[in-house]
Amino acid sequence: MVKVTLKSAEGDVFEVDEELALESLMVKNMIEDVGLDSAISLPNVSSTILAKVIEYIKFHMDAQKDGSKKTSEEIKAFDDDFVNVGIPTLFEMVLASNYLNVKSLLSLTCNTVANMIKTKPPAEVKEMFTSAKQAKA
Amino acid sequence: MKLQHPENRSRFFMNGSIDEEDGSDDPVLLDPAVWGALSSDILAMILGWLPLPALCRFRSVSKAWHAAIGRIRKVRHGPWYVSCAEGAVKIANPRDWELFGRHWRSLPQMPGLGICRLCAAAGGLFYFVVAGGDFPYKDDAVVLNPLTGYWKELPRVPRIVELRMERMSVWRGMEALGQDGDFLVVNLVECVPRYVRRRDIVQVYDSRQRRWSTNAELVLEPGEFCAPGSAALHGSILYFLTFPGNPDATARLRPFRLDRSAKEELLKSGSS
Repeated sequence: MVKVTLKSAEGDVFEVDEELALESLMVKNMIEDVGLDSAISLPNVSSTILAKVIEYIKFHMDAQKDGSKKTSEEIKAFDDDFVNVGIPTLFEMVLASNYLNVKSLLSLTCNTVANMIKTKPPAEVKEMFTSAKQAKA
Repeated sequence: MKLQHPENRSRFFMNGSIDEEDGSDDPVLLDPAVWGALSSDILAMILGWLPLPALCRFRSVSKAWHAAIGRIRKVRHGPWYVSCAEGAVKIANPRDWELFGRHWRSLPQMPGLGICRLCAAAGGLFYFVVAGGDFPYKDDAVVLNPLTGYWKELPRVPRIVELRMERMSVWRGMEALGQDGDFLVVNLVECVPRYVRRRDIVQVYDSRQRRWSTNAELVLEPGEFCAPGSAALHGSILYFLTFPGNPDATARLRPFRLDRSAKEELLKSGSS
């Protein structure tokens, strides 16, 4: 099995299987451009977030491989548990999955954010999303 | 003073949404310092998961949100909602909302990244009018097949030459021709020039001939006006429902023959 070396923002090195790394379209493009010899540095992703993303991709690849072993309820429970994290972590995961271009994780995290805000009145959403910009301006 | 949202108030808002099973009682607060700086692509992606009532409410959040949500229209005679924001068209089917939880499906990007407006739909095709982007004219017509995601730019609409135009309003419609994916696009242009009597001009695009018909006038009596959205196709005749100026008289159907040639048209207008 070919290994790919990923380097996070802090400089920590993660070694993952090639097919796992190819799930991220951004890493896939990098491998096509640079090759497998050098480590791929991801300056926008911190170590904790990268570890979580790798955990997510690994679980879903295993689930797809076995098929019969993991039921859809288990996958759903994993997803629910996975996004049940602190708000800053969730935000960084949205950014990281967008940067790494992992489609399934991006839709999962965006869905979580949408579920958080969809029952709220606009005034509250405005407070959440726009006050920072106004403070800057 | 700040607006307060008591419990019952937010429950009223909740009733507007489509599925409300998840316990949203625990206060989940997003940090504005972090979330305020979201890029527009990610914002659009989050909005893609929101149901229609929530989207309609969140228009008032900010200008960026208003632009990102865009214009939402229900397709006539069909289950879909179409949202047109700048450069992006999304489609949603309320049945999918209940079945899959997935709300808005992005359609392939329109060529030219303009702002488009859904005008009509027929035979599984959508008729948009585009403004801005790479399109050189204000009212370029585009037809979209939502299943294949194929955008087809129609040729330029024939110009209406009229001096001193006071008012010009266009009603746009679309009719399907059989099962083969052919269609008619109908523009009914109401021209009110300043000193001359008003004219109703019919422009028809036929996908079989791939061209617009020449501007032909729908001949109406003085005071008679055409009900917008009333065109109906039967054979090769397009019928328009019109109302006479006299309120006692009844509405009538005005036929408009699609196959008459431009020459005939000239002869008719010359004799009358």
